Amino acid sequence: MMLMAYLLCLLAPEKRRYQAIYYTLIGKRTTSNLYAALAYGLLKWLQIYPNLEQAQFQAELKRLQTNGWIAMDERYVWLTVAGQQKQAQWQTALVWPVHYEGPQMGHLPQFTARLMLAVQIVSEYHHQNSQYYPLATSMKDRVLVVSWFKRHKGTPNFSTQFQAELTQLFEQLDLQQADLVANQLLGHQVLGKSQQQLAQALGSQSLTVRVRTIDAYAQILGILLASQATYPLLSELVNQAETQLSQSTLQTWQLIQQGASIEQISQQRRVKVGTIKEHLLEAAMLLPQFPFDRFLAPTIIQKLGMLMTEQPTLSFNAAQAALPGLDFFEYRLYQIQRLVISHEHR
Amino acid sequence: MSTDELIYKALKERFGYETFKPGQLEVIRSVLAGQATLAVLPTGTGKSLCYQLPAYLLGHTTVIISPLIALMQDQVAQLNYQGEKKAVAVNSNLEPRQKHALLRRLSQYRFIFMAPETISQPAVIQALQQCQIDLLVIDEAHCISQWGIDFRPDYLVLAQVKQQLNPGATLALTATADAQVRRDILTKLALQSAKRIITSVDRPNIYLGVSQQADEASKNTFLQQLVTESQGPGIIYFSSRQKTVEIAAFLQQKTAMKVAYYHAALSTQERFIIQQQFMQGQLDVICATNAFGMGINKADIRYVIHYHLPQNIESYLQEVGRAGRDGQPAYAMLLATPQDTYLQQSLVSSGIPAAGLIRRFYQEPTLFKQSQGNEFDLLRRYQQIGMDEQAVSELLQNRQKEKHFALQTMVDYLNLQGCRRQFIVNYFDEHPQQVDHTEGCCGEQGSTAFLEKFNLKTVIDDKAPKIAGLDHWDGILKQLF
Repeated sequence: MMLMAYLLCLLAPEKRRYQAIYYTLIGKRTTSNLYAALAYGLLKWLQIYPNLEQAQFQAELKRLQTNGWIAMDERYVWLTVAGQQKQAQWQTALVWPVHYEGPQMGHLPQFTARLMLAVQIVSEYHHQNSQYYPLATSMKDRVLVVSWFKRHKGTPNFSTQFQAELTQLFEQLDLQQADLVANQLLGHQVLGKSQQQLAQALGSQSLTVRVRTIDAYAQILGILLASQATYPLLSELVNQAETQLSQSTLQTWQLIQQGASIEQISQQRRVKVGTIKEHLLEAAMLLPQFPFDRFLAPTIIQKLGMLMTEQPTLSFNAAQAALPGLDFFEYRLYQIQRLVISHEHR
Repeated sequence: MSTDELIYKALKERFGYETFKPGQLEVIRSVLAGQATLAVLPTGTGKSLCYQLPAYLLGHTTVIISPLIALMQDQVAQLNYQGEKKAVAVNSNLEPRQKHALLRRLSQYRFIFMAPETISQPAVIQALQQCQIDLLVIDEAHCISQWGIDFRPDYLVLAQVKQQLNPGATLALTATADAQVRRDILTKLALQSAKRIITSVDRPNIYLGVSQQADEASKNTFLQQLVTESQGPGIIYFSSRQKTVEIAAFLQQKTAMKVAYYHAALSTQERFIIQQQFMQGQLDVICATNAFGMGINKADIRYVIHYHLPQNIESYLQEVGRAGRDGQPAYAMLLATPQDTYLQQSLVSSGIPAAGLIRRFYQEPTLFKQSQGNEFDLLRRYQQIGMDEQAVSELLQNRQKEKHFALQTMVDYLNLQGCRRQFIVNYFDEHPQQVDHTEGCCGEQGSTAFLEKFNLKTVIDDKAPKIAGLDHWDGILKQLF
C-alpha cells in the first residue's frame, strides 16, 4: 500500500520510462538512467531502495494501474487524471526524506551497516565481552570496520571518545530522529528494536520508519562529511571514495581536475574516448559544481540555447542538422546543464 | 590417549558437551582415520560438529564448501561466538584488494568457508595449495545432484577441485538425500569408496500433524487458536512474503503475543535484529519465508507450522527439523486448504527457463547480456561450465518433472491415511525401520486438543509485554557504553 503511494508520487502526467525509475531507485548508474532521472527530477532519490526487487516494483505498478491511477505501455508509465488527484493527496500525507541527496550518498546502506557494526563492536569491547554475534554485514564492510577498530582500540579512552562523538552527533539531530536511530542500535546486552516493532510502538507503518531511518542516516552522513575534524573516529567509517562517483569515473574525474584533456585520459588509462565522455556525463549529473564551460564552447552554448528555447525537446539529429559537426557528448552535456540550471532555479 | 579419548576431551573442552548425537561420533572417527565419508544426518542433529571437532584434532586447515553466502557468514559467526577467531568466509562479497590480502594469509585460518564458484578460481586454488588441508567438507552436498532439490551447477566442479587440493580426507554432508541423490553425490564427487554414515531422518520427539481447512478464513482462525494455546517459541512458514506480513499483523492484532515477520526483502540489519531477538527468547512466534532458519541454533523451538504446502518433502523436513532440538516434545503442523495445491503448482515452473528461451539464449547470447533474473543467471552459469543447449534442455525438463513429482509427494503426505512418520522413513531411509504407529506420532487435527497430550499447552500466560513508545537516545547510549 505504502510503497505504491510513494511510487505514484514519482510519476507525472507526461510519459516516463518506468525501467529508468526502477533503476534510479536501486541505484544503477548508467548514463542513460542518470539522464532520465535528472530529466524527471528524480535524481535525488538515486539508490534510495537498493534491494527493491523488479517483481515487486512491477506488482506495485500493476496495482496502481488496476486502481486506474496510472496508464502504461511497453516502455512508459504516466498518471491519469484520477492519478493526479491521488498524487496530490498522497504527496502531503507521506513522510518524505529531507536530508537524502542520492548523488552524494550512493552507498548509504553500507555506511549505515558500518556505523551500526562499529557501535556494537565498541560496546562489547567496552564491556570486555568477546562472545557475541557480530551484526551481519557484507564481508567488505566487516573487514573495514574490524581494521578501523584494531587501529583505534589501543588509544586511551577509545570507547569514551567514541561515545562522546556519538552523543555530539545525536545532539545535532531532531530528538525524534535521534531516538529512532538509537533504538535500532545494538551492542552489549542491547538487542535493538526492529523497524516493525518501532512502527508498532509509534502507531506508524514499517515503510515510514524505514524512510525516516534512511533520512536520519543521510543527515548523519552529511554531518560527518561536512565536519570530519569534529568526529575523527566516526568520519573514518565514511568511505570518501564511494560517496559520489563510481570507481572508474572517479579516476577520470581526478585526471580532469589535474588538467588532463579527454584524449590524454583516454590514452593514459587505455579507455575509449567514448567511455571517458560517459564518465564526464556521469560527473556532470552527479557533482554539484561541474565545469560545463570547459567542455562546451560559448558558440555551441549560444546556438543550442537558441534552438532549445524554441523547441525544448530538440532531438540530437535535428540539433546536428542545424549545427553540423555537433558531437552527441556536447549535445547531451548541454541538455544536462539546462536541466541542472532549471532545477537550481526551481 | 586413544583417539576416542581425544575426541571426547575435545567435545567437552571445545563444545561443552558430554555425549554425541546419533551418527556424529561415527562420522568423526571416519574423518580422523582419513577416510572419505558421506554423512546424511537429519537437520537439527549437529552436522557442523562433524567437521568442527576433527578440525581441532587435525590442527591445520579445514575447507568447507557452502552454497550460500548467508550460510557461510552464519557459520563463521557461530564459530566466532564459540571463541574461534581463525574462521573466515571467502566469497564474491569481498573487494578484490581485500580478497587478495586474505588469500595471502589463508594458511593462518583453521576454518575457510567458500562458495563453489569461488574455490574453482585459479588464484584461490593456488592459495589453497599453499595450505595443508586436512579436511575438505562439502556442505549441503545434495546440491551436486540434479535430482536434489537445490541443484547448483557450480558444485559439479568439486571433484576436480578435490583432486587439485588433495585433502587428507573429504566429508560430504547433507540432511536431505534419498537413495538416488546419495548415489549421485558419490559419483559426481568421485567418492565411490566413501564410508557412508546414514542415520534415520526420524525425529521421534516431533509430533507430525496436518490440518485440512475448508478455506483461508477457517485456516486463520485455527492458526490463531493453535499459536495462542501452544507453548512457544514457534515458527510459521509461508510461501509468500506478503503473507508473512499479513499474518504477523493479524496475530499481533488478535493475540497478546510478540510476533515478527521475516523474509529476504528486509534489510540485513532488520533480519539480524529479528533473528537475534528470536534466539534470545524475546519473540513468541515468527512468520517467515524459507529465508529464515539457516544457521538458527535454537534448541527450544516448540513448534513449526506450515501455512502453505511446501514444494517438497526435503524442505519440509528441513524446516520441521528446527523444532525440538533439545529433545523435548515439539510439534509440526501442516495447514492446508484445497486452493494451496494450485498455488504451489503455479510456483513449480517459476525460475525454470522455458525451452524456447533456452534455444534463443544459446543462438544469440548477446541478446540477453543485459537480461536480469534467475532464469538468465542459471543459463549463464550452465554456459560457463560448458554445457550445450541440448544438455541444458534435457536437464531442465527433468527438473520440471522432478519438481512436479516432489510436489505430488507432498500432496500424498498431506492426504495420507496411514502413518506419516512411516511415510517419511520409507522415503528417505536406506533400511527403513517399522515405525510403531501410535496416537503420539502423527495425525490429522481439527482442534488443539492434542497439545495437552504432549504437554505443549501454555500453562500460564508468560508472553512478554509489547513495547510502547521509544526509549530516549541518551539512555540507550548509557546502556551501550
